[in-house]
Amino acid sequence: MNLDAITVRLRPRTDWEAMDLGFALGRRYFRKLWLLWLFTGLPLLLLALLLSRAGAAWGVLLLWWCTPLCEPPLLFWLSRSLFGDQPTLSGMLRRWPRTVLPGLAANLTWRRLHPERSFLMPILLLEGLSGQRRKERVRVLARGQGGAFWLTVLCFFLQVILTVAILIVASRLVPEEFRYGIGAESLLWSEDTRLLAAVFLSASLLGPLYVASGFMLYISRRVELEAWDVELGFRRMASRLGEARSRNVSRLGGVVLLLALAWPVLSPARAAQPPVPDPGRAREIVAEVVAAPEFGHSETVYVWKRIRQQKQEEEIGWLRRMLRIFGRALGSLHTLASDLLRQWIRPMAILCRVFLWGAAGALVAWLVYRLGPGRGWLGVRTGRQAAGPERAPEVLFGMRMTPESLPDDLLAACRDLLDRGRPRQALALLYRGTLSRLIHDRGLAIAASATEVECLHLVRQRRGPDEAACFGRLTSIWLRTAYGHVRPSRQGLEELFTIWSRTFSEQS
Amino acid sequence: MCARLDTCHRYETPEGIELELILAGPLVRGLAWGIDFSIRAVAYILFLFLLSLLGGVGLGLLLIGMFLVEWFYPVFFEMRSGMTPGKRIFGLRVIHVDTTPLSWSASLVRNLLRAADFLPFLYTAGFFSMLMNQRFQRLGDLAAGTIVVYTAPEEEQDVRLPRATARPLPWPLRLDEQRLILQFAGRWDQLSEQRRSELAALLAEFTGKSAPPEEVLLAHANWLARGR
Repeated sequence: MNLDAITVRLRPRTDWEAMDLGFALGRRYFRKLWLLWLFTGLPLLLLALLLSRAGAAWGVLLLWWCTPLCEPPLLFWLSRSLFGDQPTLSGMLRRWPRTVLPGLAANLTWRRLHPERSFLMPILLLEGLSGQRRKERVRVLARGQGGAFWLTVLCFFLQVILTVAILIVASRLVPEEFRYGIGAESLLWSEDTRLLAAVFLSASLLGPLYVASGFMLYISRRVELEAWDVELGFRRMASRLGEARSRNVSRLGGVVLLLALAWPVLSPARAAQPPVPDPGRAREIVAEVVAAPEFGHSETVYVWKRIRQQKQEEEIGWLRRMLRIFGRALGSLHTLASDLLRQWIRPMAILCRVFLWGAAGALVAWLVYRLGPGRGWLGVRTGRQAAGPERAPEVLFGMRMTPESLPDDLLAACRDLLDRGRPRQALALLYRGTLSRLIHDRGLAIAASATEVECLHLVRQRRGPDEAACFGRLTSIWLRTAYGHVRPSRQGLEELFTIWSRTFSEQS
Repeated sequence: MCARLDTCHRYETPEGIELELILAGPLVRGLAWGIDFSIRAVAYILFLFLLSLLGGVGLGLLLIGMFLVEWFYPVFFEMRSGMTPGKRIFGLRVIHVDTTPLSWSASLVRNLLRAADFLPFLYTAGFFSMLMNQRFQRLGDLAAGTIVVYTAPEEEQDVRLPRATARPLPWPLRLDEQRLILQFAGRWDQLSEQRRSELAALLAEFTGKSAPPEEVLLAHANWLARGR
């Protein structure tokens, strides 16, 4: 085992990191690993296809159960390539029986369901131990190591997910015409075959990753237990120190040849020491380095600068003094002003705030008034509020509805008309008056386009049963008279008047 | 042979400092997602019982809540700390590729694109994207420029060394070499006695022959850790 040639970086890893590294490894060599897997996997698939005639489940079970057959060559190849030596495919094929056959019976029976199968496989295949020693070894390596269990569980779920995904994609790719037809294609790709193919594909995709991850779990456990990374580092360190010593020795050379020969004998430990300059010389070197321009330097730069004209300044000295006095006056004025401001600003601010809040409140109130429910916003109209005077129709079925157009005592006017032998006019006046009263006094929102029956519906919905009954009677008589040209009987009208006077006149 | 394989993400800042973070792969991220999903599922079931008391309104509220939670659960937690509860359990954290903390837009993008990663069934697209990508990024990560890394730092300061009389280094060593000696001493208990002397024998020239090399290295490590 030559650690210097190792192709993965050695460092202590958690189990999860080791599995991630296994995925990275599987990705790097995926093509080769996949081919290796297929070499055993394809014959297995044929067998499974044969077996699936007895039932698809048997084929799938065979494929799943016999995956340990496919995995050892992958593991062997990985273990070689880990140290930089990549066996050729043909070499691997020749080696196939030697990698797969040992322990096959156990692999396919009780060890098949072992949750840490991926982790045990390297120990069994690569370390070549047997019996009690192997058991001991497994115990030591597997202690405090739970990653392999999760690897197996997660890979199982992954395989199920991948199989379903492949089936979904495959069913989407089948053209619509063939999906339900019974052609040659659907015979070749029956439901069972498709399932088997999906399982095979997902197993072949995950196989390399599973093996590589298990192998990396094993390697990281060994790195932890045997400190491979420290070994590698120590080797490198030893070689560096050795080089430094040999350089040291050759540099001393000629004149102190004798001393150089004696050096390793005199102080073997010091011999490997890299050259250390004495403090005085070191200080010189430091000064030299610091003197370099990178560590800062001085530079002379010429710039134009305004020269103060002193003479002129003396001449205008009085002006200056005046300005200073003026300035002082301004200053005191300023303090005065600021005092005033300080006194005034607070009330002003409060005033402003009140004003602003008031404005905001007014705005909200206006919005509520403008858009509120009573204004028919969004078509919502409710109750008495809804019928504003400007909304009420002036004319319904060609009848004027304004209260001004009606006599003050409606019922008296009707009776008068009836007495004069004009029952139709009396009825019309009563109907018109009733509607007008409903609109203006009761606040009923009747659309200008409403028909008589719609009016009646509205009254039934919105007004009490008494009014509804009375209005219903009135409407039916009026409809018969107006459209059926049936002359209303005097007695019927009299009755109507009394009911009407009971329901409408008294309340209003 | 190319550089040694590792799952590291290296980023050099404009100041010339190289940062190294350890990327998280599909398995651990899948498990973290599973935990997040179960948390959500339990919450949905609880709320289904509570809100079913309200009848149709409750069902409506539940559906609205489910919509919001399904889409914004990860965004909420990622913006708070960079990790959802599931990720916190495994010490995972979402950051930008340039190692800065996650921004709003990136978090939204990477979580809205879960819909794409989910296709055709349970994140299969995301899984393949992670496999084909050097940084284990799913499609959402690629779009948002984010990565998922382990937060747990290598506990180098916290190494507990076996006590020994401190002994100064005979001559200065480079920083990585000093660290190596500390690591060796820090893993003292994990290594077998045999292996310890085997390892230390590699540095026999450095340690000299006055004492067993591993003892000398331990003494040096004590000196490095506790000072003179």
